[in-house]
Amino acid sequence: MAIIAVYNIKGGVGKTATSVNLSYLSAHTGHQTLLCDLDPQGSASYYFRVKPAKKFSASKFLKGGKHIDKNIRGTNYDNLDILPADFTYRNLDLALDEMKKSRSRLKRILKPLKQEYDHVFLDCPPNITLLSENLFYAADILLIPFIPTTLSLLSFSKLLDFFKKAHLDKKKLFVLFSMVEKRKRIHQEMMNHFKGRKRILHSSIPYLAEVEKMGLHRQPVPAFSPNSVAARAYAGLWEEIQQHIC
Amino acid sequence: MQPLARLSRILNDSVAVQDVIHSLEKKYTVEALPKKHSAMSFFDTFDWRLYAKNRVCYLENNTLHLIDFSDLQQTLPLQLKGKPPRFWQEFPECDMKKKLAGYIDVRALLEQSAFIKTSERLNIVNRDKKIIAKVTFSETTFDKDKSYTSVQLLEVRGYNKWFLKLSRDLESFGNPQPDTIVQTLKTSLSASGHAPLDYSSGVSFALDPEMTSLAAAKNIYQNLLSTMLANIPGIIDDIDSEFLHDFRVAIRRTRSGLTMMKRVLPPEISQRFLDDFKFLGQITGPVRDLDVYLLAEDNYRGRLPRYLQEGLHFFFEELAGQRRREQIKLAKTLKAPRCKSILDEWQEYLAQSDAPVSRSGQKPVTVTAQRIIVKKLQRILRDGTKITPESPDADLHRLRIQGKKLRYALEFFSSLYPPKEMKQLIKQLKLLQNNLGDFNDLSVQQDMLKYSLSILKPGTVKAKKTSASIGGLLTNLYHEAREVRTHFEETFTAFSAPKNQALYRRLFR
Repeated sequence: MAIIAVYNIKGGVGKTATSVNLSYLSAHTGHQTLLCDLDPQGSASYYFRVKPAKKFSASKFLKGGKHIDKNIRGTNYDNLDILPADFTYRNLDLALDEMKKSRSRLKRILKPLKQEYDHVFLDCPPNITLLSENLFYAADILLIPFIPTTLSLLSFSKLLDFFKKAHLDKKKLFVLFSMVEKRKRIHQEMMNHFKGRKRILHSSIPYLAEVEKMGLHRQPVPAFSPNSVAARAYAGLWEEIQQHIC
Repeated sequence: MQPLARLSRILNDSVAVQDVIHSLEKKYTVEALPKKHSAMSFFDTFDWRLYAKNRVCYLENNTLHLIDFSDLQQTLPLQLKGKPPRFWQEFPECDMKKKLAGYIDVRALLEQSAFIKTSERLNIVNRDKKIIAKVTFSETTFDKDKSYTSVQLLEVRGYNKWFLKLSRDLESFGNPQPDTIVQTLKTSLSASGHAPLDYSSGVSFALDPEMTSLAAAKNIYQNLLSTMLANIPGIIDDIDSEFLHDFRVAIRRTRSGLTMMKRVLPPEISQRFLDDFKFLGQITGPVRDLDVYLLAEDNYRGRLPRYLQEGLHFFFEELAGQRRREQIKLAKTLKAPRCKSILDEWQEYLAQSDAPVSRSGQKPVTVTAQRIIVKKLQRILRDGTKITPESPDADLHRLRIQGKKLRYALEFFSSLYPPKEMKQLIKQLKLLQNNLGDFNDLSVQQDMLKYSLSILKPGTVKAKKTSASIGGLLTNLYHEAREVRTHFEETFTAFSAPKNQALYRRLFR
């Protein structure tokens, strides 16, 4: 099984759209897939029309085991389940901090799910926090969507520094250019700057209305518009990521 | 995690699919998906190797599925353009290829049954248009006259209360049936009079201690004859090497039975069929020998350094050519009247109930079984004890034949004795047989290679490379044979250990 965390320090870079579309494509190709919505905003859960159970909370999530099993929901798509987010997830950091082995907690929570799923996607909230560190330990692939701007370059180098200091494996990092606007020169320049570098994926996701329409349809792009440019871009991205999954 | 709940009901004849849909629409928000027609086929080896390992393999709409029916775990499905390849080696690199390799080994994947399924799916949704349960109506058609309609209800994870509610609503429309892929397989096979595991290359003779020796012998021979007949079409069509292998083993067992129980059948009958089955053994020998070598190609390649492997390729090309020629001859001979009449007449004899019965044939089977097993065992103990590290190879080969005869005898009469003890005796004997068999295989392979070397026409680069490879192989096989030979003494000591012999005495004296 592979754990694929979609993460960025910054918000609004297309993390949820990436998690939702990639998990859909994973399931569509026959892989048993779980999407864990870890963002208290619960956007991924909203896209899949799933509400968390009333008794579910951050502390239940951190207990793992049957508390998680009981709250996993089937989506409208074959092979794809979701663990919906709960608003109490905003306190995940505090709850983690009070626990023993707080940095590897998430890895331990996800371990039993390896028996059930081929791919587990984590839609992560922004920031570098204790939860983020947990993600870095737990993930096999850390997919980082970036809007190609100067600030993105800055946050990427901060992340690399963090990995170095924490002795984390940089090989699990993969940068994805997201919300790319062809007509913006800065986007083109930044992409050229990074082109061919290690840890930068060849595929990128353009800024497209189809992606925004996910909120209207409450469906992944390849489900409501399978032949669109956006759907093809996500399919190309998924194909590339699969090559990096051992 | 709990597996998803599912339920299936075969609809009563008086119930139309539309009736059920209308009744559901009154209580739930229903989204109907377009009807789908799909051709489905089940695949397994002739001897059901997948099913025996709790696996079902089926092709539906060009997608090949491999499912563990004990826990419903599914190997990643494989998209295909047509039917699946016959052998695992011909599959594209994927998880399914690895799994199949472990299960089917040298056997071919065959279509066991095919049918047409028309399904109509309804999604039961909530106010958010989130699916909370799935209902599918399937009309399964096996042939023109055989079809049935069923309704399946599938739980969506996290929405179990809706599953329970709907299952109550569906109660009145039909009778429950296990909704498993295995059930579909069984139903589709039964349409053609088959069932999973209806052929096995393993032996199982159900004898009764009250039987006369003649009745028991006929029961054994009939069972072996069925195996022979089942395998003939596969040999003629050259589907995979195991058809011929199983056919030859059944012949060897029959010959061994006719020799061991010579007086149970009238002597002229025993002798006549001994000659006939010897003939069937002889005509099938060349193809089987070549199969054994061809199946060992990878093993042989692994024994040689890379620079000697090219010559081996030429050598195997030549063997494959020989096999093609021999297979044509074999298929022709098997279709010829002589083979057919041997098996027909044997069948006829076994079915006769008014044939004269010899005195030995009238004896209880337990007396005959005991006599044969004790005799065979004593022979092995006598001959095996005499073997020393200096004994000629021929002595070990003779002992191997004796071991085989004892093994057949134990298998023939196994059902007359306690299963646990018989299993133990066979297991112990198997260890001795493995050692002797390995030594024999290595010796036979060396003889074949020496012969191939002797008839190789010199003068070409190809011949030079081939002879270098054969030389390398001969050296390698020689050393391995010596190594196997050194283990004989300890293996035989274990076989003849007092504990094992005491068990023989307890059961057969």
